[in-house]
Amino acid sequence: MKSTLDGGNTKVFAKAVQSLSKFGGDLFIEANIDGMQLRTLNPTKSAVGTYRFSRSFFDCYEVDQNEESFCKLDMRACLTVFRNTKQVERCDMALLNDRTKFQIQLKCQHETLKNTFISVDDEENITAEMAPENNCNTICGSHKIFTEISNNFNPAEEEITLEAQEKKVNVKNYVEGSRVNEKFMRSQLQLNADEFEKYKIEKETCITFCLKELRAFLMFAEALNESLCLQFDGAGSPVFVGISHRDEINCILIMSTLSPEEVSFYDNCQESEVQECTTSKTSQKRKLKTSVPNQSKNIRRVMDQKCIAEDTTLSNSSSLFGFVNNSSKRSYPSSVAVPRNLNTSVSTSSFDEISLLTPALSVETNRMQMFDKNVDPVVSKGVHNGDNDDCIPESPKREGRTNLRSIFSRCFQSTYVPVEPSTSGQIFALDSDTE
Amino acid sequence: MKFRAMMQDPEYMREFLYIIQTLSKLAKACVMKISMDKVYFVANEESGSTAPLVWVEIDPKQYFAEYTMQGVDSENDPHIVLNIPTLNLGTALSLLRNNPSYCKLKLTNLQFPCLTVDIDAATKSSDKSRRAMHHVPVDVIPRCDWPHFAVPTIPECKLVLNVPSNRLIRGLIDKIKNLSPTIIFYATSAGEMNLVAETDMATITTRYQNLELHTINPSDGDKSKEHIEASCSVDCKKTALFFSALQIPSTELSCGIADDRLIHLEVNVRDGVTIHSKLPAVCI
Repeated sequence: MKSTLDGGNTKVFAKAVQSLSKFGGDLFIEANIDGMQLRTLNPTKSAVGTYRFSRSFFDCYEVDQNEESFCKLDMRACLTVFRNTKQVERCDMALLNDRTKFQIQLKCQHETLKNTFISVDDEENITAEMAPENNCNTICGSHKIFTEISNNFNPAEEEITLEAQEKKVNVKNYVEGSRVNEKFMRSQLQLNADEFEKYKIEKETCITFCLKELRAFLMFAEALNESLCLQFDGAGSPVFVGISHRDEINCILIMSTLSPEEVSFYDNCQESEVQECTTSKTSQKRKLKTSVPNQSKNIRRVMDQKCIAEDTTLSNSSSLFGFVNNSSKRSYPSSVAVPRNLNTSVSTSSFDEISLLTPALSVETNRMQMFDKNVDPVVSKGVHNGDNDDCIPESPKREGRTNLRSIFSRCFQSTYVPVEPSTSGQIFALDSDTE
Repeated sequence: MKFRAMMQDPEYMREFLYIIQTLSKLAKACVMKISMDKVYFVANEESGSTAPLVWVEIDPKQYFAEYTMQGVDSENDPHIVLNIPTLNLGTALSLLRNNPSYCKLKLTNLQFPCLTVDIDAATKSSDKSRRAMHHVPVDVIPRCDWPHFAVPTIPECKLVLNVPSNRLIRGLIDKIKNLSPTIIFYATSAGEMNLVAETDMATITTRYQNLELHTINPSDGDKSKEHIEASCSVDCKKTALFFSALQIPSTELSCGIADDRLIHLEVNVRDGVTIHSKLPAVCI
């Protein structure tokens, strides 16, 4: 396979490589009769981007009829070649006959010739046998509007959720009522249907997909000054993002989508007034030590244990949460904190047994939690109200801390000797020898 | 605790965005102190960093079309003190750049305390508007920690001069930064200000003449003199950072010099909105 590009098209080609490099580590090049295509997969294999350049895009394009030329190259190697294409006047690309090297020749100004051989990583090709034909929902718009949408979110944002309704679209970086980190900024942007060039929603739906890949794709759309087309069915089935440029370049990005049911929810997600913890720390200490009756201590212990259980299970599938099991359905924002409360009172006895079996740990964590509250001034601010009878941990921060304490619990036991940990592991062996 | 504020003037809103952007260039987080008659934003990076201490004073009655606040301890001096990540707030306000119709700020508790920013902006393509809502996570600072977050006081300076065109100064200090680690601000009561940078090879002096004298506080020894002088040497990188962070297109800057102690810079954005900065003196 051999192909030649002129200066202007080389810049477009370089832009394509640059944009693909934003999300994939390997570049798959395939050349056939119709043209050349560049493909990449993201590391989690949830998105695949395909940039297809037709024959007419190239000045000269040769490919053997019976031969299918494809190869897998390292993205970083390609990126270095195409990083600076300002002075390029001509670009020749060829897959060498023995299929071990991919040759790129850049003819630059002042008779400079840059010759690069990139070794072929693998004779591998990927295909994505999916076509955006029968999707019921389509949103098309200029790259500007999509750039504005992407600018509405933090640069580090990973996923966005698109709520497509008949007359408007809602773009969010969270799912209503979902569990989020305490430092997480929830954002949403509402746009009207008539802001888009084409807006056809047959079935109202809500899909979640990666933002990073979309941003990479957007970068190329901006370079071509073309509009973007989103086609999708619903959550769980893929979303197709397309760009086409004068029949010469056809790009399609296929991303898997996530349905909102797969995230864990908060029990209580109602807006309330911000409260300040006004009691001073010493009085809080006293209150906790004296006034907490046995019963609520038990509940507390149970709750602590539940927290540990929740936090140590890696999966966020709902069946693992005790309280969700009992109430037999996920608690959405509308059902306020009741299930969790109710639960504990019903199943206290059974949990008591559990807490008897492993009392040491739970007591320890319990004690640590109290200790922690008394000493650390940063924790006891804001929403926490210490004088309530039901000492249910409300904020996720404390749950996280309990988890931390339970993992490193030995560090907080009286038997722990705080010796500076050695940097090299080999010293352990030496010590036992000398003794 | 309750806090609600609304802006409706597009010019005010853009200014507000510039103020937050200025702060986000200086510090990761800023302290927002809300009281009945003033709203302060204080950007104070930990000591040791080059970022200067900058604080912004806003008179809410002039700035916000609607302003309600209900702090803790409602009898005497109610306050709300929040710690806000500036970058997040900057992102949240980014829609204010294009033709906003209103911007609402509200303190809410949605799983954790948030400053909710609700912006409605008109678009070019359609007659309907676009609406963005951001919940910026904030830390509510408890009352016992308030003494640590006090708003800096405006220092008493020997000479305060009005210096024109801070863009000119910005370019100048940016260049001097590469030559000398410190810069000397020297002013006289005759309305002259000199910026002096000294290196082994050369001394660069930039002179501003016929400046308007704002205030004058002569020391006891100076009272008999005809011309009162004040000079202070400050870290050039710190000064450059303040000027490069400043996003507001203002034409005048007042510069107060306290002899060998500090320099106080003040940008008056409009009546009731001022940006202050204090640059401590350094020994040469």
